[in-house]
Amino acid sequence: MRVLLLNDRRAERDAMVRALPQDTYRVEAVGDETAALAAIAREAPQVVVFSVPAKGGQDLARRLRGGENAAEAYLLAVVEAAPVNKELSNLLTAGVHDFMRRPFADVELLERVKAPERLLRWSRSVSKPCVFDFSAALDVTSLRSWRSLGQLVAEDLGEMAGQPFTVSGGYPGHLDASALCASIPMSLAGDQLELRLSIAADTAGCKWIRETLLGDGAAQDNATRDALRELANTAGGALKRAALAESITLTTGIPRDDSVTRFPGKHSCWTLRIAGDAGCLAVVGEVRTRSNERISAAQLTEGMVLAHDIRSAGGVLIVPAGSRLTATSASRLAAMLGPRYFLEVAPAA
Amino acid sequence: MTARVMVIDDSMLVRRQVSAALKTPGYLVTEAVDGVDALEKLAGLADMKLIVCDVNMPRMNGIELLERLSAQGSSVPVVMLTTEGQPELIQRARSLGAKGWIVKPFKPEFLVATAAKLAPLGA
Amino acid sequence: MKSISPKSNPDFELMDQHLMDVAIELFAAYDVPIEHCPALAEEGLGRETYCMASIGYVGHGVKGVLILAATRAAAEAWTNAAGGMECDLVDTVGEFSNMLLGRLKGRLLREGIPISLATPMTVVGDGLRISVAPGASSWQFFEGPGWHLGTRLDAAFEPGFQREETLAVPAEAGDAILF
Repeated sequence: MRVLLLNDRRAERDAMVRALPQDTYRVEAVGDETAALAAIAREAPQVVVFSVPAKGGQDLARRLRGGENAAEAYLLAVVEAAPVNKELSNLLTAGVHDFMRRPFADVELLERVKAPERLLRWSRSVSKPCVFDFSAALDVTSLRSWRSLGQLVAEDLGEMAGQPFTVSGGYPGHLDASALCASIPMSLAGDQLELRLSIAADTAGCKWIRETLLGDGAAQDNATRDALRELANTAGGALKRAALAESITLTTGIPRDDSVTRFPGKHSCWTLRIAGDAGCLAVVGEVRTRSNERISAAQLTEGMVLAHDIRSAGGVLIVPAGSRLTATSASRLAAMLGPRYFLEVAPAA
Repeated sequence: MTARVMVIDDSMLVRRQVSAALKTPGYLVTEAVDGVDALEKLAGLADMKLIVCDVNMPRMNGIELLERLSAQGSSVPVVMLTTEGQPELIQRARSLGAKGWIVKPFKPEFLVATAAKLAPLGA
Repeated sequence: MKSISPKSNPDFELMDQHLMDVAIELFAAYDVPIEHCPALAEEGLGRETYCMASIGYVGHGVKGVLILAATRAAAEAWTNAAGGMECDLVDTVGEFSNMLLGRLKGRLLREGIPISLATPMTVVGDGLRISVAPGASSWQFFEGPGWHLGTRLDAAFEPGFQREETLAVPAEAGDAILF
């Protein structure tokens, strides 16, 4: 979701930027109206948070919404602790949707920026026409990094193996249920999405893994599976780094053994042919929604991914959103925060 | 002339690749499967000259291990070996005392050069 | 109308050089070696043009378009290489333009020229021609096995454009950084 912040108080503006998780929100912060209007003209924001000046707040609101790109934007006004006279009703008349009084906590800003999504769900539930489309759910399959996933993985695996792969779209038709497979889960906790990248190898591919990667044609099955897990890990890394260039931060989990029985399904698939016709690997990308959970810090376990920052009372960042918990960090946070502190997490993959 | 290096990674393949790269010039390589395993083994080894450590591991990840080593006052140089490339994570490792960051898949010659710089043989 | 020589703008020349590199790199990744070659026609690929994809981009003080022109043979060859079917020719050319500009984006980020990309629009037809660009513009031509492709990079720089301090970019596979 694109959020535009207009605030001439630099320290407050910087704090507001920090309060909005960058893996969920694309935030542009500006200090004056001219810059704000230019930003709106460049790219339509879904939410505009603006600091109301001492005078002319409703006119500013009208000007911010005046352009085509912001006609449907959700406006959140930041006002002083005790707004004067009819200021609030004037702002609402001018098209402001919500307001926040100073001083405000980070979590309040975050919740109010999330409000339009809740309103959208509400409006759908009561079957009223949706005026604002905040269904800004990320479509992972539209990302460049996802669409070129086969190529990205081939490059990194080729680097790892010291030989190139030939990439083609589609799942290798000859792979049967006996093919070995490993997958790595990847989380987008803020969007409640879970991705899974799988690498499967046909019989010849497994032979290639043993001979080329392990250097031991007689390597045991557990060694082959370990190597395949590392291939999945490498693939996950390639996707993660490519997605970073599109400002998407994925949280990678731990690779594990998996099965090919659900493939190809409706997933994104590529075939990587090993040089010299030495078999092939399948790359499969799956995307599914997975609702976050709100749990007590005492219930944190390894594998969960934080959906938001954890900050101290003073606002200092302790653990950033998107962090995958290990047993070590889960128990540390449980001890630090206590059972009455509740967090939103993506469940362990 | 030799020097002892620990490689920490939950992948046997990576431990094998790192060992192969570092044994060739003469390093002695000890393996650990995650941060917890590494701490237990380090407690019993006094002559570690370099640690090569993955980031994403179960039980205790590489960043948490760096925090623990820093808290213990360890002077063993640590190089992260990982698929992660996020600048913020690299900076975090650096601020915790890591001496280097290598992105997988790695070039063996880069790993050897890094080891030679941080833990020269015969030093 | 003559295109403005890229040599008159060092930033544009840099972008153009990177474009040539990533074009060769992209096709090499599909195991298809291509070579820079002389122009086939006065403008673009001339009558050989079968398909054109264009993607807009915008940065801080610069904006423009990348156009990818392909002969029919090129479109078919790329579609085969990507495992597609006949009906995918247009999509394939659009996708290649996307991948090309995506790679260029990564390179330019490291040069202090961050850009955002639009989505490609692809057209197909005989003897396609396009309008002249208002700013700096440069055609480059490449030859593959039995086919040709052309790229045209257009860029309009605002007065006072300056490359930015190199941003923190993600490390890449194989990178080894010592602190």
